Amino acid sequence: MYFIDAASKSINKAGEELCGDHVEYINLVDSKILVLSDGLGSGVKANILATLTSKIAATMLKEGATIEETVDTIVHTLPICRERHLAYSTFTIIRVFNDGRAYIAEFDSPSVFVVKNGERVELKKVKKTINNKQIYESSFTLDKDSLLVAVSDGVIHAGVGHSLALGWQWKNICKFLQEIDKNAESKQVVDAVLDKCREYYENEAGDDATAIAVKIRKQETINLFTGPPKDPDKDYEIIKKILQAEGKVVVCGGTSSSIVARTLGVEMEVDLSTMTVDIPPVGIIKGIELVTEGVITIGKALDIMKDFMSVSMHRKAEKNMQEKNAAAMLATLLIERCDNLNLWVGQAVNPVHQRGNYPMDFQFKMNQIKELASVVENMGKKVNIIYI
Amino acid sequence: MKDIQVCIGSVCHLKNSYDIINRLNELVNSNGYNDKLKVKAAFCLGNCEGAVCVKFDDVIYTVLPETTDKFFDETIRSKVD
Repeated sequence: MYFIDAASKSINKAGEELCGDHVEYINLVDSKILVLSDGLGSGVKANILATLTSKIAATMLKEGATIEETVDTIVHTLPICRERHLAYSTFTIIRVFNDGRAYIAEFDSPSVFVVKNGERVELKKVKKTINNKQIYESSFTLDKDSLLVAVSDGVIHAGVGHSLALGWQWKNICKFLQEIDKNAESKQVVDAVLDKCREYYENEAGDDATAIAVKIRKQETINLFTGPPKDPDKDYEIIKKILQAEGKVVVCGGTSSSIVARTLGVEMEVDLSTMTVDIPPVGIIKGIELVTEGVITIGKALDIMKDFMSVSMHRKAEKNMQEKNAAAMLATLLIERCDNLNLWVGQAVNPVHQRGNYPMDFQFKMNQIKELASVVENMGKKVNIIYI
Repeated sequence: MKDIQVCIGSVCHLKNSYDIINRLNELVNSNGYNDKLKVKAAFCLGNCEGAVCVKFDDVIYTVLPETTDKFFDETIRSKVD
């Protein structure tokens, strides 16, 4: 079983507030579906066409519809442009299963790129005609050294009218991808491609440009320990068990981190440079991936994760994740580097938290953990709660 | 060199330990104690009852933003001068 590391990003045509490209993601138990669609024209109209196309495709495929049914529905649903008498939007459908199998369907979009260890991999494509539209299907298997990239034509044409007479062009993009560090994550690949686009367009993109990258890697597990165990006599025993569990360890909570430091027999340092008015700073314990305060930090990380999953707030979340504070680090870790989350939830009650004037009592904490579990599950990850 | 440890656990954070850390840093700087005192943060000092907890010379004190200056003058100063 692999983790499917997929990322996408768009830049808008200069002067446009809306992007005419749209990427729709669907997380399923056994696979991820990504649909990139490029709507005719630019601005609002293109945005609506692209959004409709990718949403219809992703939703129908998720529900088990065939590619024929999906294309047929798209063709009959898209509104017709008054100027061009056309309802048109290209698409690239990518479905990657967590055993590495990949299925791709392309309609009028630039051919996808597959690169393995710096070499281009050629795909066998099968042409299918559906409603007079030519769809190219291909199936192959990704491994941990392969990179799959799809772009909209705004990337292919990057630089036209600016630095490059003929634009970036498919073969040059392929070369660029062959030279990308093979350990780069999908997000870094997408950033590299779009940075290059911006450079060629001299920051005045002539068209919406979007890139999607997909890689697979071994699944990663995080053990998040929060709240001291119910029975203090068992602290040592339980912490040992958590530290020996497979995967990384994250500790959220003041007392919890003191217990971990004591068990390991080390001193904990606090990195004051990460302190903000709203979020307590991170602690440093050797061997522990991340150490934070508990209820406040988890609450702020939850806000970021919920924003990340919302269409309208996604950008804000991405910006927040760049910040150097405990909540941003926790959210980033859970979003980007976690496939299986074990929540080790201590049941000890801090009597001071139970007084009426403290807003975050035991019940609040337990509800917060349940919310965390459900948000992380909605991202397509596996969550396991262990009460200790 | 002595440490002044300010708790930044949940309860202390909510009672503005952030402001206390910043104020103590200002006081250390303005009094020229940089080579004698270091303000550090600590995770839960275990006395949430007395938040905000500040540990100095192995004693845990209760300090609030409005009592920070007084705490510095009465408790810290005499031990470093």
